[in-house]
Amino acid sequence: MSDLAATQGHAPVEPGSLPGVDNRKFGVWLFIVNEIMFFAAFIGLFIAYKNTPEMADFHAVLEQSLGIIGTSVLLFSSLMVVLGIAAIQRGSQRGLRLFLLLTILLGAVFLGIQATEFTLLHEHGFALDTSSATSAFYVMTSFHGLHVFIGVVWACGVLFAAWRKWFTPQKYAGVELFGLYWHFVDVVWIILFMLIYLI
Amino acid sequence: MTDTHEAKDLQAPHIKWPKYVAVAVVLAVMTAVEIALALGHFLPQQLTTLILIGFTLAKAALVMLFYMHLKYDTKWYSLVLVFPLFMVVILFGVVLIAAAARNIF
Repeated sequence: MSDLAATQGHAPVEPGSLPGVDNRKFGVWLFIVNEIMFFAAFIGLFIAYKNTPEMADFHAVLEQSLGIIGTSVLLFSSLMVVLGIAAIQRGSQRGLRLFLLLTILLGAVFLGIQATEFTLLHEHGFALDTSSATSAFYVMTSFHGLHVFIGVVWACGVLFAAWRKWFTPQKYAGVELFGLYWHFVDVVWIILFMLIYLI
Repeated sequence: MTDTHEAKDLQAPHIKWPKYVAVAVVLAVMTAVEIALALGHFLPQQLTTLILIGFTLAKAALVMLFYMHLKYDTKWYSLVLVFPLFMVVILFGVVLIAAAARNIF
């Protein structure tokens, strides 16, 4: 049945699957649910220290321009991923490779911006163990940065698969699953950006 | 759950790229408005905070609906999110109540 489904261009449906549900995609959504709870704990901790005297000192030296650029970069990278999916759906292998490459580059740029931000804060004397507020900031943003790094590595794997032409207009779940993860990382940053830089 | 329900491609819905670009433009405009509100101090602080939270939730919803395809996929994927989001609301509610007690916002 799976072979037949694959040759007809449809994802195989395993016995016991929910109607219209691709179990691979469902698995990634369950993983995302798990990640939501992780990030909620870190964000809750950060909110608890918001506007404390320690956070006020720390907030005064934050480079808002870096946050704005990082946000723009990550939002643009999400667009690149969906354009990559649209490209492979049209049968454009070249388009998929180009958009994946841009996604990797933008992810790397975001990590570079985060490293710059951490370096500047460290130069101002704000380290991980300076105060509870700085701990909350570093743990939360580092955990997000780790996710971006994993996303970049994952994107490199997807790009390799794309280079070998493993994806076709009928078979591109690997790109879609990576996309779900990458967009989730973007959604988390949308929230962190508001909390850290805007309020 | 017979095999007959695999009549469509389960991998991702086919959406034309201009729609993705349109969502990106909306996200960019909303981000620009957020930055202007936060840096311009045009409105009272509490009102600005409320607007910023609303914009942030709207942006997150846009990404999840259109880029993560929740708008087009089966509702089972959305249902998975209900319980954790409920838990997150409770968690943030408790934190915000504690924050309000200390006049944080």
